[in-house]
Amino acid sequence: MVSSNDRYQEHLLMTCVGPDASKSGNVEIFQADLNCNTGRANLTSLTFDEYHWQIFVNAMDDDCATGSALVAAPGVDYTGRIDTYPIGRVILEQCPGTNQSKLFVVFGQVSVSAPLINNGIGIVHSFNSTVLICTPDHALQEALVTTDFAGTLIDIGVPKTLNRSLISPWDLWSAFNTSLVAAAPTFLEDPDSVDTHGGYSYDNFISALLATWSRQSADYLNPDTLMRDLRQLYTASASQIANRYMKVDSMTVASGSYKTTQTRVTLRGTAFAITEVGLTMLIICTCLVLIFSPCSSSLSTTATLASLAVTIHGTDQLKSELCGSGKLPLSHIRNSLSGKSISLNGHDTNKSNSIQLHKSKAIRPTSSATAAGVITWWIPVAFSMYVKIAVFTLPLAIVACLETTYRISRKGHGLDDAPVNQYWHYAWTWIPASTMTLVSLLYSSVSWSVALLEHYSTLRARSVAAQRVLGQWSLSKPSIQLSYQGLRYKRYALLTAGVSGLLAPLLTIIVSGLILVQPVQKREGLFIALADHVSSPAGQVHYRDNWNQPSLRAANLLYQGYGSYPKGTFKNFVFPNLESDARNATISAGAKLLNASYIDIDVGVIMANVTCQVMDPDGFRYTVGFNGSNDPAGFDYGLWMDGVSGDSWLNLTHVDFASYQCGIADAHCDERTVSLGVDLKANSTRFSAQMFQPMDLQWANLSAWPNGDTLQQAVAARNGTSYFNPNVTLFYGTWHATSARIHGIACYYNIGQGRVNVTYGLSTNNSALVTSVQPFLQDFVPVLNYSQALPWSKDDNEDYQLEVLLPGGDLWQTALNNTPEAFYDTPTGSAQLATQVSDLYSHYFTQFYNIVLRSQNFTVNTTHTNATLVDENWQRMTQSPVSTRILQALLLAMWLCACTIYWLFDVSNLITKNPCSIAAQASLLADSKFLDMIPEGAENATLEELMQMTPFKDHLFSMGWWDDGMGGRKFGIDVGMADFDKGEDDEGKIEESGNGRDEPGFIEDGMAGKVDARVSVDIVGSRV
Amino acid sequence: MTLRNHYLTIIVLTILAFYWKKLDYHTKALMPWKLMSEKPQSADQSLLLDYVSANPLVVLSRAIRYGHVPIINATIGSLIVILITVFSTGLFVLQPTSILENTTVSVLNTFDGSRFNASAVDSFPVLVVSSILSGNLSIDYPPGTGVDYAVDTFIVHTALDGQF
Repeated sequence: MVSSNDRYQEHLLMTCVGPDASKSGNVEIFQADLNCNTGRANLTSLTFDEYHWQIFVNAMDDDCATGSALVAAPGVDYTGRIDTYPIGRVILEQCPGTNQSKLFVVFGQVSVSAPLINNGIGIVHSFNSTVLICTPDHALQEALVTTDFAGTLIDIGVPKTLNRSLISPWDLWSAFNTSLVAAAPTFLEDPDSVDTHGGYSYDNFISALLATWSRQSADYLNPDTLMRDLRQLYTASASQIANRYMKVDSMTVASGSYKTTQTRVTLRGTAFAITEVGLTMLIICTCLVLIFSPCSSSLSTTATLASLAVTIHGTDQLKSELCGSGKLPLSHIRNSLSGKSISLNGHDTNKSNSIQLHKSKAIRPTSSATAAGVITWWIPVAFSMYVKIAVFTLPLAIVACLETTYRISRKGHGLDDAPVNQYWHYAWTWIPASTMTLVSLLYSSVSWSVALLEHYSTLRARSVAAQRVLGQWSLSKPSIQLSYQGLRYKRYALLTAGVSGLLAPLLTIIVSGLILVQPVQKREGLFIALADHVSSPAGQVHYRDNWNQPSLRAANLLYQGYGSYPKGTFKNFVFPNLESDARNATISAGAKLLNASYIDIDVGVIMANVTCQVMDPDGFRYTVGFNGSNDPAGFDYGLWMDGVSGDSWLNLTHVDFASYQCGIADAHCDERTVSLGVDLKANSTRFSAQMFQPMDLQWANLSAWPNGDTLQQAVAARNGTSYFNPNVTLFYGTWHATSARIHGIACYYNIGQGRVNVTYGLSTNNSALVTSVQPFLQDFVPVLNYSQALPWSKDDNEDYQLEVLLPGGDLWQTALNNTPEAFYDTPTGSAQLATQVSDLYSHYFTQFYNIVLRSQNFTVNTTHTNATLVDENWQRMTQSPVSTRILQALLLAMWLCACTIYWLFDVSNLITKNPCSIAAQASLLADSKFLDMIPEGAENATLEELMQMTPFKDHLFSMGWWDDGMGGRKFGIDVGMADFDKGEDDEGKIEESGNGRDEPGFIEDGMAGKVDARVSVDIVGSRV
Repeated sequence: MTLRNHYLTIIVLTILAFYWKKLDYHTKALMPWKLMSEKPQSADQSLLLDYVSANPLVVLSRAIRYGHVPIINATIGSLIVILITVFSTGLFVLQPTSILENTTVSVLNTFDGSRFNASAVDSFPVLVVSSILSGNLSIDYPPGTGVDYAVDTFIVHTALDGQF
């Protein structure tokens, strides 16, 4: 359950990142406290024996006293000088009067002088003390708790008391005391360490206080200081006890909230503001257009040539003004209409529309640049030379540019660094978008010109039905409809114009994803300053007294899986520190990458590794016997055990030991057993024993060990032989009567020296945190002659091995790490135990070497080292390959469309003027004979009705030259088939327009027209 | 996510541009008829008036000169649609955003002293507290604990990324 919860929390951490992420919930909170008052104390007695003073104190408050209690037994010197001793003890006293227990916390300073010989009298010179009388308390409450997503408390709201009790306050105190005793060996102020003859100045409680706050002992003569430290240690420890031992799994739901910082897609301020303003203006424009719209239903029919023809039909004035102007430029019409005012009558009364010309003031006609007799042909801007050049070159240039920038982007991990200034970032998106919009508009103008002139081009090429050319207007049609129409009527220029019009908007859509901001890795080399260096332990002398409190604590916590590696260490490596924390060090070294993810530093290290190997359980040979009895070989190893009556003994050896021999047959050893003795406690089924470098355990074969070859070389270098004694060996297992199942773990101190790559994470607030260490294993060499630099005793005495530093002072219990022993009877369990023992020793070695091998005395050559600063999240503007390819395809497709249009759509000699004004269109219709065929009342007909009337329903129309009946020629639209020539040249000779133009085969099915080039009115019967 | 939003915005604006183009065309095409229907106009403001083929800037200046409000609106609208289409390409960006939301939390455990065994407590509580209070090691209190409190373990149900 715990592990699944851990996984769940980890998953949440992954999804809810951010430095300010937190969660809140109304949950239970546990709080403990010590309620303390001050008391007083008297020194009641002072005695001494051969080694110690014995200081007795009576502590009391108004209704309770401890009586004379032994508080401290510091060592005594029979010199006659005055010595001052800090003393302290916590006494739990059952007060008879109140039937209530109280804690008497006594701290004092006593100055005494001993006699010159140990049978004299000790003299008390002064005694100062602080006494606190405390009672423990705790409460279960409910409050709004805010934590980060890893569970670290951030804030506790106002608590509300719950009516639920947990345990008695004294049980909690007892638990605290148990924990205190277990942790005592890790305090360098440990009373046991002060005096090897068993003397002490403090009990564990005062030792813990002194070790925690590193105070001068006299500080605790101030009751406020003592009370504050005391309460804080108890309160915080009690919270840990409650958290670790009082929580049971449950599942309830409560109200809460969460706050997090996530990388989310957000609207950018400036772009959003501009877009917002634009959309607002567009809404205003829409409203105004709707209010002032010229698009009334009565006017909507006037936009087609057929409607215009009907309007002209009813307007003789306009007809006469525009008569003969079909071939003239617009300036000529402007001259003829100047001075006249024009109105549209009838539309508001639902009567027939007619254009009325009124004479207003006399305006002098402007001179026409073109003589009336000379024909000039109009071409749209999109078909001008400059635009053609732009249309041809621009897309190809952009395609080439896109390809070039894409290759640069791919090769250089992006085009450029993402600008810090966001306005520069806009340039990366807006410039491509503007370019594509420009191309889109350019191509749209070509498509628009084709749509505008398509009807005239059709009329100029052949006779066609009115429905197709006079009754509709291509400009108002969407591109898809133009494409369909072009395909249907095989007007391929129109088809390609439609396709081009369809593709143009895609340019703007696709270009929006062209430039992306993407993280890439960026590296920068540095030469970085070191604060110290780590020397080899070879030949150095260091031992337990050289520990400092933080390092010892770190070793303990790291083994228990808690806490981070102290500065200068990681796993089993000890390496030089940087001059300051990693971030400041990079700044000092002149780094340009200011937001780097991590820095790799190449440094020399000491590797304090302890290699452990599981011994083959089937290789053990043993005998079991009762205490006092001899084994079959005649030895009585049980006697040198603890000698407790009723115990049994186990003599064992292993086939992997070089000294293994089995000479006499036995139930479990067919030869004589020369081996080690293990004490088997009476009434037990399990045994365990640890041995430190016993000579009997010389290992024969190292090849089966982890890194066996390296180890063999190291052993050979150290011992001059391939045999070696494991530094630590643990035996454990089960036994019954005369049989046993034995497991063993052997460990070897594998101290090495080499180089590593230390990685400091820079993305967190703690830039001193090492995230990994990569050793260059091929460069590592074993360290020899380090046996005088060990974390415990400087001699080989088994009594002063690692155990003296471990919580509870027990290697075996510490190695078990709260897991039941039986778990380690399996192969998996044995391997895990080997790892745990290896970790345990490695942590102690590493943290010890971290203190004793580090020094600031190093040469100039080693004050700096090479480092590599790495930013994994360096923001680069990259070009999307998908968008690039799509854009290139679109541009090339549009370019092909434009080529097709320019090739197929001939606008030369097509029309004499821009046909977008009413006058220009009317001039093409004013001379038409078919106007006379329009029936009365057609002015009131809808476009659909108009198309069912003569001449629109039953005649074919064309545009070109017509006989004006007076020996001349007019240019315009009429029924029948016009002359499709280019007109007359300067000498009055008709220029032919080429073959195929006048072919009658263009007449469509279902429609008939007399193919008579010179007859302008050709009525066809109702054959439709 | 960013690309999706980019494309979605541009597609919406493209559709908007399509309809505005139609509105723009019809407004320009019918403007001379509208003017003539209101009152007699000069030829330049009626039969010769061409808002359809001229480029937008010419159209705008001509419409402002003549005071043709619908043309001014339609032309400005067309320009705005083009501009916001361009500007909208820089509309979205991935950036850290602070989010605060109310939700329910699942409390995964509760305090219960019924099975508490004071003698089973190990060195960890005092060891870790002493280490933290000493200030010599850069370690924090274990999750769910602080200098004064131990609290229930709880997790939040977040709708972020649609996962919880």
